[in-house]
Amino acid sequence: MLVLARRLNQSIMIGDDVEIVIVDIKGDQVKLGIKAPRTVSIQRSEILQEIQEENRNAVNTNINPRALDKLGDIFKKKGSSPKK
Amino acid sequence: MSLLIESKPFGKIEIEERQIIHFANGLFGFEKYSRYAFIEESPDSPFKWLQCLEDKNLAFIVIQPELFTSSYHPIIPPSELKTIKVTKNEDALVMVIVTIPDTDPNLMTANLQGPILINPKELIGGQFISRDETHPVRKLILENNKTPEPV
Repeated sequence: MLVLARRLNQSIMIGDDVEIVIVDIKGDQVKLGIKAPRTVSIQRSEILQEIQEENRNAVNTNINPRALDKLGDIFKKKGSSPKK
Repeated sequence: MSLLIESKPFGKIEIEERQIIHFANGLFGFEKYSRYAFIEESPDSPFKWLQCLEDKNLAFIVIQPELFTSSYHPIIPPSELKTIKVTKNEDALVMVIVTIPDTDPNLMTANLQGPILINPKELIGGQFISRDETHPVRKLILENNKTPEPV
């Protein structure tokens, strides 16, 4: 991994169209400004990791389809009779 | 034209060609797999399946979010929507993936942070990240059912 030291308001370029600016530094938090083409997808990495992990959890579901249909029934009851 | 496929929940089943959705970028964590069948075996059930055609053991349960949550509008940049050839969410079928714990199915959750959008005309889809950070990865689906029912 490349490590660069930067001060407030300094920036780095990634390729020729992505620029990351140090906008603010407070204690252990750094605010970054990112200038990039609209086609570049920017995420906090932990969100992406969480979704990947949740997809894996979802696939490990071993419910049988009949039990799932039963669960669906609870749903219908809920939907069709809002209040008794 | 119909074809026979292997599915995790139902074994061998017949599907129509137009049930096959192409996910060019795969799903998060499963980027290698791109062809899924959208299966509605029980038309009355709110739960549908996305069965991967490249791996029989890879199947996701999905549900329409409006069935358990109101005012869910995932925020997805237009540049990302373009990958499934739509300009706004409303042009797509929005589904969310359900996780059902083996220990207690009533604690099933839906992933509102990573919705699946399908372009029903082009039969292409993708999983996206909603930029609304209040959308949880694990939203209890039966939350409202937890209140004890009068016997």
